[in-house]
Amino acid sequence: MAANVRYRRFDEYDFALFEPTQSTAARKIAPAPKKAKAVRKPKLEIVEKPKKTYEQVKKEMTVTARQTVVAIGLAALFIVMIAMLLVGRFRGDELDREILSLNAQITAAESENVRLNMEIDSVISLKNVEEYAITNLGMVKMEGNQIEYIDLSGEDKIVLSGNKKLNSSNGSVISRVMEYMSK
Amino acid sequence: MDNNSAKNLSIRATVVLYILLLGFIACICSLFRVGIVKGEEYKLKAEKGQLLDTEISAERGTIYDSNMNILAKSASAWLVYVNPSAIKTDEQQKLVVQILSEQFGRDAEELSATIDEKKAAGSNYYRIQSEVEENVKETIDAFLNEHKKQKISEIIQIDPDTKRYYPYSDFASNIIGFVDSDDNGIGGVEQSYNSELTGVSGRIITAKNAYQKKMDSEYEMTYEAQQGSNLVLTLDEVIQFHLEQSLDRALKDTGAKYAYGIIMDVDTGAILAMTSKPDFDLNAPYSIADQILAAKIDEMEDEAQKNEETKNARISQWRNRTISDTYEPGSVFKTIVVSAALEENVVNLDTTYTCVGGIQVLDHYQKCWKAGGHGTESLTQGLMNSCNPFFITIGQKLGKENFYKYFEAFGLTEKTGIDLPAEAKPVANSTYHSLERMGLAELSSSSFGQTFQVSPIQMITAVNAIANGGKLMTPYIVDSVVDDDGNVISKTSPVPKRQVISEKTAATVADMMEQVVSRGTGKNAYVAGYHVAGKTGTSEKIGKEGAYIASFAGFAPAYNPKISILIAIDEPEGAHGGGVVAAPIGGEILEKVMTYLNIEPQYEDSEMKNISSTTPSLAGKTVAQARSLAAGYTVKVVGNGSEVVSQSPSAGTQIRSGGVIVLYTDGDAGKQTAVVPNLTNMTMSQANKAAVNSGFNIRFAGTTNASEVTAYRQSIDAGTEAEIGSVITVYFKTTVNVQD
Repeated sequence: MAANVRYRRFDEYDFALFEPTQSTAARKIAPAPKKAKAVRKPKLEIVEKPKKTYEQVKKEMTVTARQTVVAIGLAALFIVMIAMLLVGRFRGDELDREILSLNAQITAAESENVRLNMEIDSVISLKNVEEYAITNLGMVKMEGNQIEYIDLSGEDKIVLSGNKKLNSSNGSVISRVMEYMSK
Repeated sequence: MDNNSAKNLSIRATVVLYILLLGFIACICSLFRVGIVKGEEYKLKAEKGQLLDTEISAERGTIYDSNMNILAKSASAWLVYVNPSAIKTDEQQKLVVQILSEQFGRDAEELSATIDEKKAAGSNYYRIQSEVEENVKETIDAFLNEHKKQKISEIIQIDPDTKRYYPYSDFASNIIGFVDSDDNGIGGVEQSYNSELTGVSGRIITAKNAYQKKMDSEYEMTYEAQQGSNLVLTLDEVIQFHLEQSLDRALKDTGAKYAYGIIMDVDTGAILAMTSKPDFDLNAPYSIADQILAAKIDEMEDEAQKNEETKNARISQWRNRTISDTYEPGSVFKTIVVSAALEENVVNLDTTYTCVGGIQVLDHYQKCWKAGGHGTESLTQGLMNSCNPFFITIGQKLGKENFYKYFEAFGLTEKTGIDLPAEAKPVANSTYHSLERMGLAELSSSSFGQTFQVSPIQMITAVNAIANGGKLMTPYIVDSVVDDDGNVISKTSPVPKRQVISEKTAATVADMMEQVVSRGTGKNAYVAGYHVAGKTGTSEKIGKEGAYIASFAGFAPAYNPKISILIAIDEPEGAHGGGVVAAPIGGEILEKVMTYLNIEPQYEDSEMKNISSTTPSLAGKTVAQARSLAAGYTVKVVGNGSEVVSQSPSAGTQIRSGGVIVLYTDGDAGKQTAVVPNLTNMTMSQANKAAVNSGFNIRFAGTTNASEVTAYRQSIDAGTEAEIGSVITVYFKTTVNVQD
């Protein structure tokens, strides 16, 4: 197929075909004639790309490799962080459940403690203790006249055993220190 | 672009702008509607959809006695219920009925029938048992796990609940009260201090996910429950025990319908003990404590009558008669009349009166309780003899204005204001005579404590005013409200209402009351070593012929009072005089309480002879040495050994001189026992002789200072086997001149 293609030369094209027709042109509002500006042709400059040295290429490759490693590292870090976050969340949930379970156990233990204490209290009530003491142990209640009352309303007194006597210096701080040192 | 295009563009832009504007306005309106108009509704809906709200029950406060012994305490428990609609198979129902009937003692058939009924009604809640303890819950949990396949856990549900424990069951039940299924107090301090005891429930608000599951704790908000405050009562466990023990025995001994008593701190008005017998078990308040009555109700066939009787029996046993009932105080009220008369100088200690056995009041001849009269008596003797004609005369001399003035001043026309529920309210011309309607007849009858009613708490508060030098105190039962750390939130300060009589008058009346106990109608309340002041009373119940209330009110020690007491025995069988029925109980309680309070007894010479001596230590001594050391006692030797191995009673025991000491000389010899003789109705010497002859020792208690005393109770029941040498405490009382 390619053998049948023939490209026309530039001068073989009829550019008049691309000109606007009269009818189309008539519908358009003719703009006010403007002074034609002189078209400045761009100056064509050819810039030659400098040739890279081996070192430069190597350096560029190193930089590119480093950037790739950094990118991969960051991605890995990101993945690790997400994973850690997920693990942390799972662990948190697990600990929450443990806390709830332990709290429930504490509440149960506390209520059991109260129940047992109340049971003990009911067993050792005054009524039961007295009944047991009288019936099983043959004990008799103490009477008022068996109590020895001691009057502590007077001032404090020192009573020395034997024939010891209180020295007048006994009360001084120095004598007490001396006595202590001599021991 | 031509003109037309620009115009079209402009129109289109305007239309779009308007559409956008309308849309914007619609959005604003919608936002306003959603945010403001229906904001709350949507917020609640959103919260309901997104939040899980769990209530944390607040624990009810603890109730302590004055020594911080626990009287009531709450703890976590469980509520077990069934969802009948969730039962799909017969197997499921069978298993449900099996475990529930096993654990809660329910009749399996009855339970199954009820579940069927509920199921047919489409019910999804049938409450089985509240206040279930942890061990029972664990058993049910294990059963549910065991039958996972049958999905029983979808039928039997267990929710958190609380349980109130009352360790001493019926101890101080009328004062403590109990709680209903909603943890609201019923009766006693549980009711009057309900708001303080009830805490504030807490909440756990948690976010839930699309699957209605609880999310992380970071989305959780916890508002901790505030535990209820604790109450410290003025009640003393030991004093309360002595009061209850004595009144329980009194009910049994006298066959009375009710017995109630109050012990008050003289200076502050604090209630140290209070009871109304028969009472009930706080752990089962709806059960009828009176077994005979319960059996009688059970036998009833008419369901309506049965329910009515059950309801009445419950209300009756819950009633604190010391504050909710009123009674005619009888002669106890004479202490108030004599206080008023002395204060107004209408009489003095030299005033005399001649009792001829009665007095004419208008057209009615009022007899004295002692046929033939008391003859000429002084004011003190009039009180000692509880002479009605004398007090009618004093009342008439006092006049109705003065009488009413003191009646009011002693707080008998108003509630005492005690911090307990259901205090009886005095009503003029119903429970007492108003000044306007008080004629000579009313004044005369009121002067010896008849034709009006007061509550026991009013009466003891009035008598307490005589004990503390004339100050009428407001009685109270709660000493302080404390938090869980023991910090005091509020403390009750004693509130003197007013000075009713002068200190001098109060001291004079106290001395007169002491003579009532040492030589008058109250001699059965005598306690050796202590001076007790008191007054007995006997009153016939209004509208119930032949039914009496015997009472005793007093305080001790008479000359430096610490405690006041009121004892009332309602409808005793047989003897019904306050001096015979109530005074001995008052004396017994006062002796125990004063010993407990370490109030030193001061024995007089006449009292010393009845005080026991202490047995010597004889173990390890030869029989001869032991006999020598135990000279003055009756010694019995058991065994053939030469040395004393043990003795009965043991060394240091209080027995009377001449009492029995048993010496065991053979370690293998068993304890020697004998049958305890019946010592009741014997005089002191007869009882002592009978006890010693049977190989027992005797201890005298009760009234021992009167000439004609007889034993009315013994600590070891007659006919029982007891070790020889044991000490039998025998209580004595007199029935001579103590009828009123």
